[in-house]
Amino acid sequence: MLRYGLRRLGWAVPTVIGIVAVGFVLTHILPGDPVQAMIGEFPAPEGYAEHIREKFGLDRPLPVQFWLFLTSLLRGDLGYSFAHNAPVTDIIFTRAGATLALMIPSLVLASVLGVVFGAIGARRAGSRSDVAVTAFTVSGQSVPVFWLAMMLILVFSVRLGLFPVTGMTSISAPESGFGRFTDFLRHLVLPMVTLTLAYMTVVARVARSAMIESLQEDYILTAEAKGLKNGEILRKHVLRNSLPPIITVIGFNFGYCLTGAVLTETVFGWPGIGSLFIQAVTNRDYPVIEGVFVLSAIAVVLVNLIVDLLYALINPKIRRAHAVA
Amino acid sequence: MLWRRPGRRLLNNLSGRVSAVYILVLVIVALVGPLVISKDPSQISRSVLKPPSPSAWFGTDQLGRDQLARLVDGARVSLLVGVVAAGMAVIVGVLVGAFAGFFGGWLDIALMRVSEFFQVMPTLIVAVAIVALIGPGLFNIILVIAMLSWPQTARVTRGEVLRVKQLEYIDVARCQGRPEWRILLREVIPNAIPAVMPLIALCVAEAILQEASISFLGLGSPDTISWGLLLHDGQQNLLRAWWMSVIPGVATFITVLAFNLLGDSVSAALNPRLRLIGRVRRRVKI
Repeated sequence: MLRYGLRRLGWAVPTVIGIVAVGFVLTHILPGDPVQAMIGEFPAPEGYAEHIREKFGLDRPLPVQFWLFLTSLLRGDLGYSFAHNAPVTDIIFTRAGATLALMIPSLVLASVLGVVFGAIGARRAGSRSDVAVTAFTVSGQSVPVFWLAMMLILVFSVRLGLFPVTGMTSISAPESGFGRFTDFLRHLVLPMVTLTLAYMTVVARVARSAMIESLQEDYILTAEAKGLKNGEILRKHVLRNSLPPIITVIGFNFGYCLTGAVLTETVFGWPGIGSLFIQAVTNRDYPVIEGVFVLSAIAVVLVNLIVDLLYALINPKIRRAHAVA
Repeated sequence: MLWRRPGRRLLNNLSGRVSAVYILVLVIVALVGPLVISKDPSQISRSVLKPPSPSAWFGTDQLGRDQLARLVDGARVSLLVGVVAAGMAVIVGVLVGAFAGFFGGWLDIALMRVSEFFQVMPTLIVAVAIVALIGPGLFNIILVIAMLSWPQTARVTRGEVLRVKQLEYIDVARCQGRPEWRILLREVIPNAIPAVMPLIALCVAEAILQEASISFLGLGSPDTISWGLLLHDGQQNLLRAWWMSVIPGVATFITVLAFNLLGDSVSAALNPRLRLIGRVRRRVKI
């Protein structure tokens, strides 16, 4: 298991370096002065351009520049944003709390509901409930997530007045305590429902297919012949054997959650990393664009690594295959 | 002959038939619509933010422009981006996958690592970052979407090429003394293509969604009317003019749905195992 983990880590490192290289190349191959690209369109103090040039060794050959860029990143230095007048790392970490508060409950809920919906569809393939689940999942995958968010605002905020339109807290909300918390929850509902619906359809679709495949296997017949109850068969045999693709898609959702955050946070005015990224794009705040790009790609690589390790943990065949290899 | 059966199966499938007809109608509307509709989609008027009425079926926007004319014009751009980006992605994916699978060895490892690298990229964030850096414009958006969409096709093609190259007729071709590149182009790729067919429609659906997302975020060219741009305008006026967001959103949703359903139907028509899953009643009732 340890050897397998180390081997996967061995693949992840060059991928991360490659991603950092793409981020580096994007800001360096473009026409114009890279220092200007780093500073953006904001007034920088006099001599700062020279300082940056010296710090990043921009008068040196490109490979040396890349090495300096990489070592700065390892120290957690993603540059300085003049739009925010703060280091990029600090800005991203300040916003990360809001994104996590939105993404974690949405992804957990989407994962649980997705598996439940998948199981409902798989129980009787071809039945009405299965057709309904399939229609729901295909529709969910076809609907633009930002449009879904807009429709939820139109119905639940504008027409019914049940939830606030945008933001994470109201100006009139208490500074702290339970009142503050309930105000936050009211703001959270619509963006969370949007993301849950968007992510659960993918999980449900994969879970349904995986469970249908498992249900066709002979061990299910054996389990039934042994007199196991339906719930037990579903839990112990069907779900457990369907786990690898389900874990993959849940991991995929976690890895790519920043992509969903970009659109949802923009529509709901949620002050997280996604809306920070779009603000940076609008303001041409290149250090922040680069920082979010690199961090989101690293998040994907890390989640893929965790998923692969989980695979090996739940499936002894993978561990053994790699141990033999 | 080879395609007669899957083609018939596709036509027998209700969702496949409906989605194919819808796409056909949409293509006709996109091509002929702007000639039939007399209103100029960029014509500004004083009838600002008017709801749907007999004079303006889909209402007007914040500058008094006719939403129906803009929707029909936008269909052209959305379809163009979808088809061209998906076409480019499929061509690159098929070539990369075919070379990797057929020649194997270091070329296979290198190409598949590159493909994995592109697959781990958070697509929208990369697309937005690149478009922001290189500037908006239809061609840039198409290029970025295609650049980020080819790996899936490459992986499917590689898998199929690995299967096809083991078949006897490839050995026969080799015995006849045909060069390797000719065997790849004439024998292997044409026989691996059916596995890629369902991906084409799915790729178009994904490209339409990507373009809509990029334009929605305000990164599309402001001079090019696309459904994403209409939704961007719709969001700015969400509380005042529901029609500006509901109508283009429904159009995008139904179009993406049609391509997704078509992709699934082609997949089912070509893959007997998938067809069976749809029909089979499980032998164990849980």
